[in-house]
Amino acid sequence: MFVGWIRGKTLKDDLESFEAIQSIDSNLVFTSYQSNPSLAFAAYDGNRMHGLLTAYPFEDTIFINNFYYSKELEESDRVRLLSLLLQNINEARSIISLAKRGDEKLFEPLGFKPYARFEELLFSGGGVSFNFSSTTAKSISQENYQTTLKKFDKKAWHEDRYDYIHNCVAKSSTLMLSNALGYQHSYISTKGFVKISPWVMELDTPVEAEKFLRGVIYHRGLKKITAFAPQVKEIIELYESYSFQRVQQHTLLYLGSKPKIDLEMIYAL
Amino acid sequence: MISINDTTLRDGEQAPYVAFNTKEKLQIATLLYESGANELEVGIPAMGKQERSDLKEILALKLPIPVMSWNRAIMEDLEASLECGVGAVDLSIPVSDILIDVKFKGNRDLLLKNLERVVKSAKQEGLYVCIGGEDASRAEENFLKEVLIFGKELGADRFRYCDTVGILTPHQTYQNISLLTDLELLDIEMHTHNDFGMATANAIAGIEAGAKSVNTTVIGLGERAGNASFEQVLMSLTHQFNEKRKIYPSKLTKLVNSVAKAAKKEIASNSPIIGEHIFSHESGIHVSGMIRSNNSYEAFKPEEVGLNRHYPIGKHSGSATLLYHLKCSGLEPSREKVQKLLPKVRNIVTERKVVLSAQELKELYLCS
Repeated sequence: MFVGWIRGKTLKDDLESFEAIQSIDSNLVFTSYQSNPSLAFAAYDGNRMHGLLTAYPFEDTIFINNFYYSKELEESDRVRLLSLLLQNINEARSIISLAKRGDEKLFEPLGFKPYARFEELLFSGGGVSFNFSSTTAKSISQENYQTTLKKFDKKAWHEDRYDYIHNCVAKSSTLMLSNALGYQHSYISTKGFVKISPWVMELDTPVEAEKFLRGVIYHRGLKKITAFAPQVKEIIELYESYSFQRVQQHTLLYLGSKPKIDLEMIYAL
Repeated sequence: MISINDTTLRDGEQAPYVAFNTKEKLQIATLLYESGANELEVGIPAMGKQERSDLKEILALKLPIPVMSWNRAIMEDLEASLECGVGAVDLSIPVSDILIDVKFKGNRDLLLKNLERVVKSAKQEGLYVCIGGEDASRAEENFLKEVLIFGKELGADRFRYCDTVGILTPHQTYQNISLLTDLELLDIEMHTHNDFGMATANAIAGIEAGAKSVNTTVIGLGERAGNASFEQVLMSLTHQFNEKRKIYPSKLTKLVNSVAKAAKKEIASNSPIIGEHIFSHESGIHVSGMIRSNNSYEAFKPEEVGLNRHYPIGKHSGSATLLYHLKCSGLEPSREKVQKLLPKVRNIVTERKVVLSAQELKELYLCS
């Protein structure tokens, strides 16, 4: 097994083959690689990709935004992917990553510590019916979303993540809802799944948050919707009140100095 | 040939937070001799029993070079040196008004009277005598001349010109030493300090002005910012003064490492002569030149001082470095592909602040 930098030349094909055995957000992987090829690593058995990791550097932190591996990839090679990232970054920055249950054991030996629990939530249709008037739709369709995004995202994450969201996460399937109190970005991630990511609201704005959730359900029609939300009572209850199911627990981990994140503002990672 | 009178075991050990044990002193003394020191100043017998015991052990090594002790110019100190059996002494007197006021309440006559008594006694005992002119760089020129004339009359062999607080520039040093060497009274020895980072440069300027010997310390160890460095002076005399000195790289490396370890000092990677990275060429233009000719950007060969040449793959590397390493890895790299790889290499190194290994470069090249 070769573990090293991602092979850019064959990446599109490699991702296509990898997607057949593993559910991945291949567009996000590709844009992340394009933004920061030096922070993108993969494991190959011959020409076949068996794992990958990409990361995005912000001013104070580095965010591992993709970490996938096949069942065949041995644990030592999974750790090697993480180690390669650590070797290739400046130690002064903290690293954050969302690890699914069971993956903590890969991160912890490298010094990662838990920051907060997250829930993976899935909406498969059904649930309560609601009115979504044109007035409501208009109230969350502010055209100049950049100002709100910059303001509240930075307030929640204490980092300027605009370029990341704008250049890396946003794609042709993007739906951006926003008003003066928050923004919500969603896109089609994989196999027709809609992923809410990211979604940030001003503190103590539950009524506005509910409008955004109705908005995404309404606009995305019958598609399945996923989101990764912190275990903040009000946030999880909001999702559950619209028939989102808890699928799996995850842990937000960090390495280095503890980053400052206002979880109460983060409705989706 | 200029005499390197190394004082690592005296002034070097006077560096703050430094203390050598007997074993370390014996090893350093031996390595200094093997590395090319012509004389050693190894301690201050008046400090006490242990210091005298150490000095005796160093003398028992029977190194075939003169071994000197440092003394105040008073009988008590001289007697301590005589007890050790040294053949050469530095007898120190303050020569600036600032220190004469502090130590002799401004009484120059008393100072000279002491000097006369001690120098005469030392000479009667058959010792080689160096008069140590403490703070000479702040002394009155006429008083310095008076001391030199007096010293000559007393039978002293040498005058140590001390820039005790390291205030001189090389040009000033050259002028000051020229005045003294023109007198043709006593041989002049340079003793310079590094407070403005000019210790070695001033020592060399003194030699250019006619000084016959120079005090050094390994890795420039010494009071405050330290002294002229042994390794720098040694290499300067060899290469800049064309002295025929045989330098044994392995001994020099061992000496430097032993002193650094005993003194618990780190050697900076860019330290002249001994720094690990001083033969590392990263910038594209330099590497390109070095690959064509090793003389392009090196003052002397790394092998002379036990170091190796490197072409690190870093932010400033050009295609020549990448091609060189890729070829060494057994590849036949394409120039066009290497050119495209350069920004990637720069990004990686800038982010992680560690250069790429040859293996990493190979992987990166193959992945691109």
